[in-house]
Amino acid sequence: MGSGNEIKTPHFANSLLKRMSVYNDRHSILYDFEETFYEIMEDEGAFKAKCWYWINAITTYLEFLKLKCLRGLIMFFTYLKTALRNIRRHKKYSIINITGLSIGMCCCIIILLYVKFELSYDNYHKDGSRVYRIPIKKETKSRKVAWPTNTAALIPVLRDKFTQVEFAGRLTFDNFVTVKYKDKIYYENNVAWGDQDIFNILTIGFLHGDRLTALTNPNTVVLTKSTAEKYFRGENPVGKSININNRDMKITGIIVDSPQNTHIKFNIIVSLLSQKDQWWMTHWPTAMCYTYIKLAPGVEVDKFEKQIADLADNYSIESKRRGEKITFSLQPVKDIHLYSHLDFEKESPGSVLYLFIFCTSGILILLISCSNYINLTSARFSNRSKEVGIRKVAGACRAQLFAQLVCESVTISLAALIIAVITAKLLIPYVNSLVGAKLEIRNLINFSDISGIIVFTVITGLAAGSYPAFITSSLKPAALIRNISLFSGNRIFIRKMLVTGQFVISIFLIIGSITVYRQIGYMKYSDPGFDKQQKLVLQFPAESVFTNRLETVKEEFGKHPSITGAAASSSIPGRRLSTSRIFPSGERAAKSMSIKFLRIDHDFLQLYKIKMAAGRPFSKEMKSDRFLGSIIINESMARLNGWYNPEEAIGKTFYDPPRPVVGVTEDFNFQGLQRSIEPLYMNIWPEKFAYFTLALDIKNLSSALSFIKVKHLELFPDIPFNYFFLDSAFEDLYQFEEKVSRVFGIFSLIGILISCMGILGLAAYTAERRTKEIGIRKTLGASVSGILLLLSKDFIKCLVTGTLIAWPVSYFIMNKWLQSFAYHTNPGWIPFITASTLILITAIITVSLQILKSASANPVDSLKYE
Amino acid sequence: MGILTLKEEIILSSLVILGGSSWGAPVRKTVIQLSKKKIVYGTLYNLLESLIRKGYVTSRKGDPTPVQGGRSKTIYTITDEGKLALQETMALHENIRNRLPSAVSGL
Repeated sequence: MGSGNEIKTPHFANSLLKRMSVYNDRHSILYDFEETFYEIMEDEGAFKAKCWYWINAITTYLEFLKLKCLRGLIMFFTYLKTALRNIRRHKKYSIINITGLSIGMCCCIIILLYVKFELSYDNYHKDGSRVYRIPIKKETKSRKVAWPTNTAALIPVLRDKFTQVEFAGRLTFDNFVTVKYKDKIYYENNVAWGDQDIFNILTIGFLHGDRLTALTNPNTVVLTKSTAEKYFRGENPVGKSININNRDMKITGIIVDSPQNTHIKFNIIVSLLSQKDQWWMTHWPTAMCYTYIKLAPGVEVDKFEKQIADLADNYSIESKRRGEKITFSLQPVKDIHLYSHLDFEKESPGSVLYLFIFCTSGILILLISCSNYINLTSARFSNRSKEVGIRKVAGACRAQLFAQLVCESVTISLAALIIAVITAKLLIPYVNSLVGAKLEIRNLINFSDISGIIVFTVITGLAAGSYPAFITSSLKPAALIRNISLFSGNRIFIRKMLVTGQFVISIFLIIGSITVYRQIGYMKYSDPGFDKQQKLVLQFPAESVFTNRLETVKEEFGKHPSITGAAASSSIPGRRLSTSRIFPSGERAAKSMSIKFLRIDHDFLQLYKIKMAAGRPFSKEMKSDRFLGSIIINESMARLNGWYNPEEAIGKTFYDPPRPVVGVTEDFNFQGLQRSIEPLYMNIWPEKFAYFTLALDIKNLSSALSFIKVKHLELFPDIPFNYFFLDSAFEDLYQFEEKVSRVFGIFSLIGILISCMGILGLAAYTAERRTKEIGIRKTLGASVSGILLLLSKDFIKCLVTGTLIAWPVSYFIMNKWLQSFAYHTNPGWIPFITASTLILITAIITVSLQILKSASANPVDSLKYE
Repeated sequence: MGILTLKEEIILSSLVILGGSSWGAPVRKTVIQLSKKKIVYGTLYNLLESLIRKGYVTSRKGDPTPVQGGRSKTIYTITDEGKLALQETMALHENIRNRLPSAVSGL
């Protein structure tokens, strides 16, 4: 049988066979293999024998694995069945557990989607790592400004003189462009003028037309699909002519609608060549165009930036003289949305800070629900000690028990995941409308995300279940059956800490949302210094619509009884104001400032009920107001020029030839109470009037509205009718804060919900644990309310500790946030007291519900046990 | 007792052919002879396991070989239930053969 033979069975194959230890014991594998090995060696030779040995060893091992897997699968299914049965048996706990966990997971999923979305901005451009925008940074002695646009004249220089630039293109925007096709006439916003090269830099999909030649000729235009639908329903627009701002343009292509996740969106792009004779195309100091370049491969950004630094000097001789420093830099396009801190971005950018806050909140919420889950699971297990004890006595081995308990907790967390995903899918439409994003669950369906989520869920289940399962399975049956509490001493402390932590977070969230809500209310309802009630505003393209007929127009509108006043201006409070250079007379070089301006008419200040601090408003009688260009400034402007008493400003002059200041208004918030009031000057310039404000008497609103519409058609036949109410437009300034408030509110709600879950579970656990104690106390004469108080004592202590921690932290954080507003309320006592009281009430209600049952139970029943 | 699957039948038959008891290697050889197809030890052991579980076969450890550190064989013995099951299966084959038309049964 092999002895005396120098050839032994292959060693490594043997070690493989030896690994099937269980199999080995039962089936003497090595023995059989050896015998067959030598037989084959005799018949067919050593080589064939060895081959056979190896092949069979491996296949046998595979069979062994197959058997083990099968066995494991069967075992797994048995555990699953038991797990489900157990879950159904302890319905209350299970539901609380699953609900708590799925709320947390649902939050996380939504936050994950949002974060992915924000991070995905502009990540789809081909060769995205080489695509940059060139903003301008200007440093004066007093401040730094940066804006995203640049001079139109930069691009030809870059294109022609620098080989490192593969493509260079511009985009400049206009709103309220009149677009006409046949009988359809609308104002279009987001109308861009662009170079052909833009299509080589940014990835813009073409549905019809040729991407390579769409805008190479002047007077050509591409439309987005939805814009085309508006004018050419059903027809193919390519080749047709459309009228834009009174010029006929040929449509050369249709592009896809701008996706949500890009920093620059447009509805129409007209060839920039159509504007090539405009003065600002070659005037260096005017920065009108968003400038994009694609660097050639291999170009180093820093070196290139240094090379174009000289171009910045061309920017403005005046600037140089004033000692201002101008720099051009390269801004990667994919970083614009999150990291761009420039003023005057076209679209309000996202913010890494808020993204970070969201992430942290999401993680916090998940932590809370996970800690609840762990708490609750361990409480549950300790309540089942009797069941486990009996099973042990009946012969269950420790590993089996452990595996089965862990299986239970993993099943619960997977169930929670499924519920979370379904809930998330249902909630996403609401979230989208709330936050103004377009999230879809579909974005998460890829391998890495799904596996990440599932792995995380399983790990939570494992983590939650393994520690209590470990302890439960290791105790002696006797101890278990006698129902000795597994969790005493240290563990109670940990649990109390977790509950306190939840309280802290929930209190902070409530304080936060109340504070934000109050701040917004304050901003919206405090007096901005002018009257925004009942004003209807008509908007016009800034061409001379009112030249020589302002008074007639006002008369015509005044014919309706509900219209009590009218005024025209270049802009209105709440809309962005432009700046212009202004200087005290005779000091052009030294003291030139960039100040915001408003062109107004004689009735403006009166209509808006803006008060004068000194001097007088513009008046029709004083012809000099119009023809000498009198100026009215606000108090901030006066202070800026050193006139701390507004009376000092009257008579002082600006500009050369000098124009006098005839009045100083009290400061009024034309920009939203987030910022302090900037200096402002006003003068009369009718050609620039673009807004027409009507003061209405709300009694007859609808008839007034139809009257206005008819008059508008009569007086301005070629201009689309576009109106809005001033107060709602002004409130739009607070959109961002509103968003924050809503999100905070939601988070607080979630925080409270989850804390409720946590308290509920723990209360149930405590109640069950101390049933006997309660029974004894009752027989000794304690009242139901007394017992309630006794059992709640723990929670009250946690709440108090939580409050003591949460209040100072919240105060500090909310104070900092409020300071960032120029006008803000104080945090005040209300949010803090409300938050703690709210939590207190919720806690009491939840705890009482649980404890009431045991507290009012008949002592006879509870003491019957032993 | 139940009807055996074909593989189980072959193994039990091999055991009977080998005198009712045997260890792994001869069983394998007999099975190969009977079915004219090679069988891997792994499949053999798995099937023996299931036969043991069903109670048709018992296994015991034989005596160790007289070499130091020698392994002991496991010896499989067919049980009465196993023999019964085998008989039933044979009867089934007989039944089928009788009922098939002679053209097929002649094959």
